[in-house]
Amino acid sequence: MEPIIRVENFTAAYDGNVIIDDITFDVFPGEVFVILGGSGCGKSTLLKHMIGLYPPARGRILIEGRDLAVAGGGERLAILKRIGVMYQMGALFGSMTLLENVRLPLEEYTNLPDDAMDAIARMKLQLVGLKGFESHMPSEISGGMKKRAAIARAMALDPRILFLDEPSAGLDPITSAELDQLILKLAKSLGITFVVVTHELPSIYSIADRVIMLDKRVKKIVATGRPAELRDTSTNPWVKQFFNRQAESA
Amino acid sequence: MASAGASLEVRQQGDSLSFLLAGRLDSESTGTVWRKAFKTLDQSKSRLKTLDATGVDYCDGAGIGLLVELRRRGGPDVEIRGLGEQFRPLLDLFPPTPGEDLPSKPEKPSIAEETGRATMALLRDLGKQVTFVGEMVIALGRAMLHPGEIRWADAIRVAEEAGVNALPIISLMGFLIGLILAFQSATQLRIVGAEVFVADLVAVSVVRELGPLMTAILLAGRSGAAFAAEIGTMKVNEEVDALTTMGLRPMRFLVVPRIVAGLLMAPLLTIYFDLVALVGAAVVVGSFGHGLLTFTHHVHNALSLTMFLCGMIKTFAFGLIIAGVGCQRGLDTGTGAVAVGLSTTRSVVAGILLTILADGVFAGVYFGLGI
Repeated sequence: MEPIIRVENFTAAYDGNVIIDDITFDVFPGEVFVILGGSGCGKSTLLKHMIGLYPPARGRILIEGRDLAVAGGGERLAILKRIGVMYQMGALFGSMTLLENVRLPLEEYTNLPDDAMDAIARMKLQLVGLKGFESHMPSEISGGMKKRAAIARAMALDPRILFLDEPSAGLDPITSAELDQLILKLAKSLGITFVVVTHELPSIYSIADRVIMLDKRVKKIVATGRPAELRDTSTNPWVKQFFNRQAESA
Repeated sequence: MASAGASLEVRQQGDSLSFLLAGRLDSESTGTVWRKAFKTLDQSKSRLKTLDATGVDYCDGAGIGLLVELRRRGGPDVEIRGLGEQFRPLLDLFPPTPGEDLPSKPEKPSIAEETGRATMALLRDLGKQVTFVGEMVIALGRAMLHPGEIRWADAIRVAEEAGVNALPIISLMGFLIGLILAFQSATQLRIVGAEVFVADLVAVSVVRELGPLMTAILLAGRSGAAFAAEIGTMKVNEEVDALTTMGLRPMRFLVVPRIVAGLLMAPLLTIYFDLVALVGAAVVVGSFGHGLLTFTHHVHNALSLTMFLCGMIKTFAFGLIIAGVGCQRGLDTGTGAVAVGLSTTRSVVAGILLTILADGVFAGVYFGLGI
C-alpha cells in the first residue's frame, strides 16, 4: 500500500539547535497513527512541520506524494485542503458561533449556496455530537466541546488526513473516552487517516493502530509498532517505563 | 449537465418527482446541483419520491449533505437508491428523523426590547464603574496612608513604559502642534503687524489648554489602551483569578501601580509637551525675523504661575481618569480575544470622552473662580 504521508530523513531545528535528528517513517491511508514521547521530545514540533507551518531543516515530508514545504500558490492550497488540523486549545475563532466556525472553510473554498453550507456545517457538528450548539459562541462551551467543534471545523472540507494535537489533554476521563470513540468512528466510517500527538496512555491503547516513540535524549524514533506489543515486548528500558508508567528512578 | 463534475436530471412520474444524480458530488461540484434541486422543489407542486444516485461515482460530506437535505425536505419516505456501498456508511451517520425541522432563526427583538436591553446594560455598566471607583478610592487612600504597600517596582515599570517610552511621539506631536498653531495665528496677526504676539497666544493656549488635553488624549490612546489590553489578557488567561485566590487583591496589585504611574506621568509629559510646543512656535516666530530673546520675553509676560498650575491640576485628574478607565475596562473583560479588543476600544473611547468632559468641568470652575 502506498503511504499517504512519507517523512524522509527529517531533521527539525530551531536556531541551529536540533530537536529531531534524521527520522524516517510512513503513515498509511485509514490508520490512526500516534506520535508518542515525553515532554519536550519534539512531538508537537514534528506535527507542526508535517502540517507545513515550518520547513524542515533537512529532509522532506510528503503528503500524498507532494511536498508542502516547497509547494507554492495553488499546489500548496490543494494540499492544505486535503488536511485538517485540530490544535491543542481548539483555536476556534472567538468572534464566530460554532456554525460560523465550521462554515468558514466552506465559504472560502466552495461555491455552495448559503443553505447548503449551513446544512453541511450542521451535519459536521452533529457528527461530533454538537447538535443543538450551532449558535453557541466558543466561550460558552466546555473544553471538550471546543475540541470536538475544532474537529468538526477541521473536517469541513472532508480532508483525507486529520492531525490532532493533544486531543485528550486537560479533559476528564469520560470526555476523553468519548473523544477517542469519535476518532475511531470517523476513522472507520469515513476512512480518514489520523495523525495524533498525545502522551495519554489510555487514549493510546484505545485508538492507535500504530505508534512511533520519540526520545529527546537521542532525538530519534526509539520504537515503532502497536502500543500493546511495545508494552509487552520492547527491550528498550525507556519505552517499557513509558508504557508501564514508571518513574525514571524506578 | 449541471457542472463538469456533477449532474442532475429531473423526472416527473405522475404527481411525484425523481432526481437522478450523477458524477462527482464533492464540495466543489455539489453547489450547482444543490441550487437546481431545491429550485425545482420550490417551483414544483409534486413531491420528491426517489433519489437515484446510481450514477454517482464520488460522494463526500457535501454530497451526503445534499442527499440528507433532499430527504429531509421530501420526508422520510424518500428513497435513496443506487448509492455506492463505499458511501453508504457516511449516509448512515445521518439517519432520517421524522418530523424534525431545521432550528429556526431567533426572532429579531423589537425596538422596545432592544432599548430595554441597552438601558439595562448601560445601568449595569454604570453600576460596575461606581463600584470600581469606590474600590479604587479606598485602595488609593490606603496606598497614601501606607506608601510602602504600593508595588513601586511595578509602578516604575509602568511609568517607564507610559512615560519615558512616550517621549518620541510626544516630541513629534508637541513640536508640530506648536508649529502649526503658531503658523496659523501668524498668518492672521501679520495682517495687523502683530505677528510677534504669536508667542503670547501659543504660550497661553498650550500651557492652559492644549498641552494637558493633547497629552491626555495621547496617553489614553497609548497607555490607557495598553492597560486595558494587558489586564484584559490577564483576565482571559485566569491570571486575575490566580491573584485573587493567592489572596492578592487585583486592585492593589494591578490597578494602584498603574494609577500611580498615570498620576506621575501625565503632569511630566504635559510639561514636556508644553516645552516642545513652544520650541515649535519659536521656530515660526524666528522665521518672521524676531529673535529668541523677544520670543521668551513675550512668553514670560503672557504666562503666570496660576495659569501654569491651572494646567497642571488638570493633568493629575486626566492621569487618574485614563489609568482608572484603562484598568476598569481591563478588569471588566469577558472571555476570548474579541473581549480584549472590545475592552481596549472602550478604554480609549471612554478615556478620551471623560477627559474632555473633565476639561469642560475645569473650564467652568476656573471661569467661576475668575482664573
